[in-house]
Amino acid sequence: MEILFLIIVLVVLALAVFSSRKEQASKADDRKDQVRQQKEDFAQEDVMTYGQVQQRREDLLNVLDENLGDKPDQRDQIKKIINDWADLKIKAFQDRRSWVRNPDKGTAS
Amino acid sequence: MPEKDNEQSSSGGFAKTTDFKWLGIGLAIFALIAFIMPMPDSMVLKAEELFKGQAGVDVAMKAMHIKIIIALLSTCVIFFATEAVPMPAVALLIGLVQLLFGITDSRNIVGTYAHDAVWFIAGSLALGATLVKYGLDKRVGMLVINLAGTKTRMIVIGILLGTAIPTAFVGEHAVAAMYVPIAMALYTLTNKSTPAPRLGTLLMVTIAVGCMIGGPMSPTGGARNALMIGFLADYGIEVSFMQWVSMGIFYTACMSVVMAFILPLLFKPEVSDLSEAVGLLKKDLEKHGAMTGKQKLVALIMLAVVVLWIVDKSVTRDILGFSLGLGGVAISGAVVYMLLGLTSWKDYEDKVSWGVIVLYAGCISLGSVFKATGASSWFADQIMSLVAPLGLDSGVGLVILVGVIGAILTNLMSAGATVAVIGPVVLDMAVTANTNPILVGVGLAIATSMAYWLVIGTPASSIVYASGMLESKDFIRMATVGWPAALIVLAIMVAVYWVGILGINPLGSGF
Repeated sequence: MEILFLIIVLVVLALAVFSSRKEQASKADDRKDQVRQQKEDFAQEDVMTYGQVQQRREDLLNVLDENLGDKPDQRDQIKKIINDWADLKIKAFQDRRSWVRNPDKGTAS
Repeated sequence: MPEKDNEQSSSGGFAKTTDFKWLGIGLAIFALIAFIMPMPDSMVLKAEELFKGQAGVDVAMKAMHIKIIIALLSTCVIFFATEAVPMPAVALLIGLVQLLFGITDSRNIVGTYAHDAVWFIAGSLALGATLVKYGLDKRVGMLVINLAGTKTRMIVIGILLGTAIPTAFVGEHAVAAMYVPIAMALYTLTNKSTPAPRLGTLLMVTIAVGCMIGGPMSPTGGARNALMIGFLADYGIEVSFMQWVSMGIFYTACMSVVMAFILPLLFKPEVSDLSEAVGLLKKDLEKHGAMTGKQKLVALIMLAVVVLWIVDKSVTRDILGFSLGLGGVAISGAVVYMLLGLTSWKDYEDKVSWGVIVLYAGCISLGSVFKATGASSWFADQIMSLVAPLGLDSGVGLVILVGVIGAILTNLMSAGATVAVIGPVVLDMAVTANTNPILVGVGLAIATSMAYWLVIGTPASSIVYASGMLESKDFIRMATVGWPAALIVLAIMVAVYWVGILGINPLGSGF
C-alpha cells in the first residue's frame, strides 16, 4: 500500500517538474524572440549618431537663418522644433546603447 | 539586452499569480499523504524512538506530525518546481501549516523563520545592490578586457574568472547582464570583418558557465550557501566565511581551468585573435574614466565587510568576546552604506528582492521543523536503507552520492529549492551514518551549482540565451562534457582536497 502511494506521489512530482520546465523553456524562447524582434526593429530605424544629428541640426539652423532672417518669430519657433527633434534623436541613440558605450547608463557615480 | 528582460528572467515565481491547476494538485497531494495514506509503521517507530519517555508526549500525534511535514515537503516541491503559487506565499504557508496542525506553538512560529542566515541573505543582497548601483561590477568587466589580452582563449579565461569572482559576491543575474554587452561588442566588432557566429556562442556560454562555477566559492555566492550554513547551524556546526572559501575555491579554480580547455574545443571560434575588436572596445571603455571617490568608498566598505567576515570567528571574537555572525557583518555593511549617504532605503526597496528573503526564511523554517519533528530522520532512514547495499551510506561515498543527487535535482528545480528540500534530509543521513555533515552539506550546496543542461537552469543562462547568440542545444552540448567533468572535479575535491589536504575528518562532525 505504501509503495502505491509512493508511486503516485513520485509520478505527480515528476509531472510537476517536467511540465514546469517545459513552460519555463517556452517563456525563455519568447524572451529570446522579443529581443530578436527588438534588434530587427532597431535595424530598420533611421538611427543617427550623435555627430550626424549635430551636423544635421547645424545645417537646418543655417538654412533657417538664411531664409527666415526677416521673420524672427517664425524662425525661433522652427529652431525650437529642430532642437527638440535633435535632442530626441540623440536620446534615442543613447538609449539603445549598452553600458559599454554609454558610461552614464544605470550607474551612480 | 533590455533591463526589463533581465528582471523578468530573474523574477522566477515572484511576479506570478496563482496557477489554480497546480495549486489544486499540490493541495491534493498534501491531503493524500497527510490524511488518506495509511500511517507507515516506520513513522510510528521513529516517533517512539525520538519522543517516547518524554513527559506529556503523545507518540501517535508525533507520528502524525512527521506525516504532515512529509506531506508539506511534497507540496512545497510541487510549488517550487511549478512556481504555481507566489514563492513568498509558499514560505508563509510553511509556517501556517505548522500553526494550523499544532506542530509548532504560535509563540514560536516566528522564531522558526529567524536565523542569522536570513540576515546574511538580506545583507548580502543589499551589499550587492549597492555594488551594482555604483557600477563596480562593470569595473571588473573593464579590468578583464584590459588584462586578458587579445587571444580568444585568453579572453575566455578572462571572462570565466571575471564572471566567477564577482558571482561569489553579487547576484549572478547582475553579473551576466553586465557581461552580455561586452561579449556582444566583441562579437559584433569581429563579425564585421570575419563572420564569427561560433565566437558569439562561445563567449555567451562562457558567461553562463562562469556565473555557475563562481557561486560555490563563498557563502555569498548564492542563497543556497547561506541556507546550508543555516541548516548546519541547526546541528550545532558553525561554518565560518574562510572555512567555506577554503573548501569552495578548489571547485571554482579547477572548473575555470577545465572549462577554459573544454569550451573552445566544443565551440571552436572562427578567429583566434580579437585584436581589432578588443582595441575598439578598450577605447569605448576608456570613456568611463577613472573610479570616482564614491565608487572607491563603496569598494572600500565592501572590502572591510569581507575582512570582517574572514576574521569574525577569530579576531572579532577575541576582541568582543563573541562573533557578529555572517548576517551581522552583512547587515552592518548595508547600514553603513545608508549612513554614509551612498544609498537609500528606496534603493534597497527597489533593488533587493525581498521576496527572496521571505522565501529563504520559509526554507529555514521548513528545515527547522523537518528536524524538530523527526521527519528528516525518518526520510534519511528510508534513503539509507536503499543506498546501503551499494556501499554509499557513509563517508566519502555518501558525500559523492549526495553530490550526484544535488546535481541532478538542480537541473529540475532551482538550486535554492534543491538545498531547501533535501538539505535537512542529507544532513540527517550524515549524522546517522557518522559522516561529517560539513562534507555532505557543503558538497550538496556546491553540486546545486551544476544546472548546466537547460537554458532555464539559472538566471544567468536565461539572460545569455535571450541574447539570441545561442540555441538550447548549445547548452546540452556544453553539459554533455561539462556536467560529468564538474562531478569528477567534485569527487576529486571531496576525496583528495577536503579530506586529504584540508584534513577534514570524514567521520568527524566539524571542520
